[in-house]
Amino acid sequence: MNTTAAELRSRLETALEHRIPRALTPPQRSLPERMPTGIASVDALTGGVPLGCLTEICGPTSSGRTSVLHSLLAECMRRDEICALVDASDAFDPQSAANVGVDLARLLWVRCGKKSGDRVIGSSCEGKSSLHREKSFAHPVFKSPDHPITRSPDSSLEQALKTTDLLLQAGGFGLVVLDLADISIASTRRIPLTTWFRFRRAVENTSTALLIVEQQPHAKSCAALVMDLAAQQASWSEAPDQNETIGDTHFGNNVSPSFCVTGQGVAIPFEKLLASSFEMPQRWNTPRARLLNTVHVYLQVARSRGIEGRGKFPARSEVVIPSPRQRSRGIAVPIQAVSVQ
Amino acid sequence: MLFACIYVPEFPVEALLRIAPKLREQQVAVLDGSPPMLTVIAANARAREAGIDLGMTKLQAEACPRIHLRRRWLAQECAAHDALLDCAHAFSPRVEDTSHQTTSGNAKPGDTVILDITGLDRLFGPPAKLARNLARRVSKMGLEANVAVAMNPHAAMHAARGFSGVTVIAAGTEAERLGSLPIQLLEPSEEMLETLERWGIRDFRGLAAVPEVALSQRLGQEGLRLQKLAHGRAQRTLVPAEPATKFEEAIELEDAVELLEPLAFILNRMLEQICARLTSRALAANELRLTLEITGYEDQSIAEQEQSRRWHRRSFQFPVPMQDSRTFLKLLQLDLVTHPPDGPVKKIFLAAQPAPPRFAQLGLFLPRGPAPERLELTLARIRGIAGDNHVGSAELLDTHAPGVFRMRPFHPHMNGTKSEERQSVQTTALRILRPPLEAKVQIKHGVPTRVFLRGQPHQVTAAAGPWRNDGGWWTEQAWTRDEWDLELQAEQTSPVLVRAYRDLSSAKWYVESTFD
Repeated sequence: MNTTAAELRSRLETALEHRIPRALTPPQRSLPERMPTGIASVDALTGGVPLGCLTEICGPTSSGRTSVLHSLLAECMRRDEICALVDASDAFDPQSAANVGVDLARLLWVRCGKKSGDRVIGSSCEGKSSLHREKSFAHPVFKSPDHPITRSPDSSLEQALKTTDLLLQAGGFGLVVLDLADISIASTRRIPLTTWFRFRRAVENTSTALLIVEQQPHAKSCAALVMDLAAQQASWSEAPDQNETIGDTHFGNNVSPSFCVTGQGVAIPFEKLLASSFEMPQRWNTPRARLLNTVHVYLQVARSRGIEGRGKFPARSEVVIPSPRQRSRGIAVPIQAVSVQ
Repeated sequence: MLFACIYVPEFPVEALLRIAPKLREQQVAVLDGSPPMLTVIAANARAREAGIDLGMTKLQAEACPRIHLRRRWLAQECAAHDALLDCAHAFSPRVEDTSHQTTSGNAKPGDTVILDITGLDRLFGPPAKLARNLARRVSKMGLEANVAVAMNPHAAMHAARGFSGVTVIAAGTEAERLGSLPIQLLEPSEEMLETLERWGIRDFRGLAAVPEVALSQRLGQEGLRLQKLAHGRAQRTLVPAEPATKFEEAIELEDAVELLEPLAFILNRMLEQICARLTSRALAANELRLTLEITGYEDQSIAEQEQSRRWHRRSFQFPVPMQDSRTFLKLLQLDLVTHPPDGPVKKIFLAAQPAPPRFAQLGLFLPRGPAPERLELTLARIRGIAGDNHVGSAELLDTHAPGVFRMRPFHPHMNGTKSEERQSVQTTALRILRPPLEAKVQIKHGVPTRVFLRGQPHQVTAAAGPWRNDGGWWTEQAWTRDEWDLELQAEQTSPVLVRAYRDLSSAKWYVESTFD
C-alpha cells in the first residue's frame, strides 16, 4: 500500500484533531507589525522597521545612516513610545535629533566608552573649554576601516553590548538602538553570532524594534531587515557675486533672504548680521561663499523578511536629505524618492 | 470607651534585636552611662537566666561567658518607637505616645503606646481579636510586645506592663484582674514605696483594700490617686499624637563591616523595616538617603581610627514612589558597587522620604513603557557599566554655544503620557567627535584645500563657509570660531562630509563632526 507523506500526515492530523489541532503542521508565522521611518522613500522600499525584530542599517560615514536613525526615533516618539540609544562611540548629537523632532526627555541615551564617576548626574555640561582639555584619540572615519586603532576601544563595544542586553531584558521600550557606526569593522566582526541570536530572541514576540547602526551587516540571518546605505553625492549651492543674498540667487524672491555675503566675501548668518558685522576679521577674503545644500544617498535593502509584494532584492532608492544649514535658512526640502530601480 | 495598650518590655534590647534578629537567640544586654561607669539598663530573658541583672556594671556583666553587650543608642530606639506608633496608627487614628509620661521622670523612651479602639469592632472584630492582630502586627515589625485592652487607659497600660502576651479586661473586673500586679508598676515615689512596703502592701489588691480616709490621712492625695489606679477606675483623656513622618533606621555594628555582602545583609533588614512601616501607613518612598560612618581599620590605634572617622553619603531619588524592599536593596547594592565606601563601616543610617503610592490607570490603547521599578534597576546596572554621568536623557541649554547640552536623569514617567507635537524638519544628522579632532589645514585664497588628520592628508573637494560663531565673551567659556562644511577625499575611501572650524582664540583647526 503506497501512501505519500502528505497523506499520512493528513490522516494523523485528522486522527489527532480532537486532541491536538494541526499537530504536524508548523504554525504560520504572522507578519510583524512595522513602524514607518518617517522618510517616504525608505518606507516605500522597506515598509518600515519591523517590530519584534532586529534591523540593521549599514553604510560608510556620510551615507545617511544617522539621518534615517533620527527620523525613526522621531517617528517612534510620535507614537508616544520610549526609546533607548546605546551610543558605543558617544557620537550622538542632541541638537540634530531635536531638530528632526526627537523628544530628548523620552530618549534614554547611554554614552559608552568613557567611564568616570567624577561628575554628578545632572551637572554634566559640555562646552568648548572642557572639550579641548580632553585627550584626542583616533577616529575610524579617518583611518582605514580595519585599522587596529579605533576610536572606541573594545571595552566600549563590550559596554554597548551589555547595556543593550540589559535594556532588552528590561522591556517596554518602543525602539532600542545600538549605534556601532564608528566602531571599526574588525571589532564588530568579532561580536559572536550568539550575541545577535540572543538579541533577536530577546525582542521576539515583543513590540520592541531593535536597530543596529554599523558599517557592515554582521547579524546575518538574525536580522529581519538590512538596509545598506551608500553616499552618492552632495550638492552645494554657491553665491556668485558679492553683496548678493543667496536666497535671491538660488531660490527666487519668494523666499525671504536669510543669509548674505558682505563686501569682504564673508558669509554671515542673517540673524547675526548686526551683531557680528563689525567683528569680521579683514584677513578673510573668501571670493565665493558656498552652502552645503543636500546630501544624496542610495538605499539598498539587502535582506528583508515579510515584506509583501517584494520578491526581488536588492531594491534601491535614492534619498535626498537637506543639510542643517538649509534648515537654518528656513527652507524645508522634503525628503523624496528620486528613483526606484 | 475602650483602650488598647502596647508595651514592649526591655525596650532598648528589643530595639536592638529588631534590626539584628539573629541575636534573639543569644544573651544580650544593653549598657548605658558614661565610661567607665557603664551599667546594664536592659537585658533579654536569656541574659537574665544567665545571671545578668539591671544595674550591673560592665565588668560584672562581662563575667557572663556568652553575653553580647551593646551600648544604648537612642537613634535606634527612636526608630523602634516610630515603628510602634505606625503599628498603632494602622488600627486607630487616636494614638497616645506615653513614653515621657512617667511620674518619676525616668526617661523611658517609647516603650508604651495607648490607642483608642472605641467603635473599631466593626472593622477589626471583638477586642480580643483586635488585640491579637495588634500583637501580630507589632511582631512583624520585629518587636515582642504585650498588648492589653481595658476600659480606661491606665488599666490598659498597667495590664500591658504587668501581664505578658495579650490581655483583655472586661468592664468592672479591673480591680480583680489587676490585683496581683506588683505595686512598683504604679511608679510611686521612693519614699511612698518604702512606706507601702513597710505596711506590707506589695500588690494592687493590697493597696485597693486600704480604707480611703485612712490612706488619705497618711499619704494625702497622691495616695488616693495610686489607690484609684490600683482599682483600675482612674479615668483620663487621651492625648492623641501626630503620626510620625520620619522613616529612619539606624544601626551601630559591634564590628565594623568591610565587605559589601554583609553590609547588604544588614541593609536588607533595615529596608524591610522601613518598607513594613511604609506599608502599614499606606505610603511609599520617593527618596532614600544612606549614610555610613566609616572608621579606621582594626589594626590602627584608637586615635588613628578616630582621625579617619568620616561619612559616606548617598542619595537616591526615584521617579515614582516605590515600596518594594528588594528593589531598594538592589539599587543600594548596585550603587555601593559603583561607589564603595573607602573604609570599614561602623554605623548605618537609612532614611526614606515618604510619598503617596503610585497609582496608574493603564489604558488599552496607550503604548506601554518600561515598568518604573524595573527601569530604575536597569538604569542602575547600566550606570555601573557606563558610568554615572553617561546615562540619562540630554537636555539642550538655552545658548548659542555649539554642542552644549546637559545630561539629566532619565525619568520618562514624569513627563506625562503624551509628548508634544514638535515642528520637525528633515536635515542631515551630525555625528559629533568628542573631543574634536585637531587638524592641520592648508588654505588657498582663504578656502581650505587640504586637511591633515593625524598625519593623513585629505583633499578638500568642496567647501562651504566660513560661518562666524562667537559668543559668551563676557564669561570664561567664550567661544569664537569660523565654521566650514568640507567634503574630504582620502585615498581609496569614499568622500566624507565634515564640519570643521578654526578656533580664533588659539588659531587652531578642529574637525568637530561628520555629516551622516
